[in-house]
Amino acid sequence: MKLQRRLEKAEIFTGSMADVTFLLIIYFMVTMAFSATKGLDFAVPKEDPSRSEIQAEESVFVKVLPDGSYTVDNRPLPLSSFADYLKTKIDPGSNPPVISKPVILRPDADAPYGAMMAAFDELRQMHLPDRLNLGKELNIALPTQREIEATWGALGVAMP
Amino acid sequence: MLKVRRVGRQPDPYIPTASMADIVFLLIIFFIVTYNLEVDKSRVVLPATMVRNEIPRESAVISVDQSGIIRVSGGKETSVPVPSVEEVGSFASDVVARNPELAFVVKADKDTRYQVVDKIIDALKQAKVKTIFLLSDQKTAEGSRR
Repeated sequence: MKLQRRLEKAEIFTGSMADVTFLLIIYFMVTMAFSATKGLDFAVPKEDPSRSEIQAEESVFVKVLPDGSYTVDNRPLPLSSFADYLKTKIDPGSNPPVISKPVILRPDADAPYGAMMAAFDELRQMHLPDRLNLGKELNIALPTQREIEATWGALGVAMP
Repeated sequence: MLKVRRVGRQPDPYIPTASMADIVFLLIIFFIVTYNLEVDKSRVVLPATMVRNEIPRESAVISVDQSGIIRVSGGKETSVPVPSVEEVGSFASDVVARNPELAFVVKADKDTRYQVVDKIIDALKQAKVKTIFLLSDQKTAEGSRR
C-alpha cells in the first residue's frame, strides 16, 4: 500500500520583513533633521555698472541699539509703533498706498542679532492687511558696515 | 436550552501580520521623501520671525553658535569650523565658483553680536552670492517654538 505524504504548502516567510523595515524606519528617524528649514530671505542687489553715481534720496532710517531697542529717524520707537510711524511716510495720493522711500535697517555692531531680526521681520510684514495694507512690500536695505563706509567715502563725507 | 456545539477542527487564533510590512514600507517611503540630512549640528537658539520662506535643499550653511564659533558647509558635507570670519569669504567664493545659483543660509544664535553677522553677510555679498537666507524659528502669539 502506498502511503500518501501530506505536502506542506510552499510559502515565503515574511514575518521578519516588518522587523527589518522597522529597523530602517528607526535609522531614518534618528538621522533625520527636525531642525528649522525656513528663514527670512533677502535678495542681494544686482550690480549695475551703468549707475555708478550715488544719489542722495530721502529714506527711513531704522537703527538697532546695543540694548536691543530701536530708533527710527533718530527718535526712540518701540517695535509695535513702527506701523504708526511708517503710516506718515505713505506716498501722498497713492492708491493702493505705497511707501516708495527705502527703509534702511542699520543695527549697531554690538546689537543682538535677534533684535535686528525682529525689526526686519516687522518691516517685512508692513504691507500686510493687518499692518498698513500697502500695494507692495517695503524696499528694505540692509547695508553692511563696509558698504556704508564706501558710500560715505564716495559722497566725500566723513561718517557721522 | 440546548447548546449547539460545533464539531470539527477549529482554526487556530492568530493575528495577521502580513499587512504590517506594507504599512511600514509606506512609512519608510515617507521618511525617504522628506529626508533631509542635517549638515550643521551646532546648537543655536534661533531668532523667531513671522515671515519665513522655504529654504532650498542643500543650500550652503554658515553657522555661528553661542560661543562665536563659525562653521561652514557647502550643503552636502558636514560643517567644519573656520578660524575667522575672513575665511568665510574665501569659502563662499569657492562654492559660488562651482555653483553660482546656490543659496546661502546664515544660521546664527539670536544673542550673537551683529558685527559678526554683518561681516558674514558682507563676505557673502562680496563673493557674489545671489540669495541669502537668515534661518529663523516660527514666531507664535505666545512666543516662539522650534
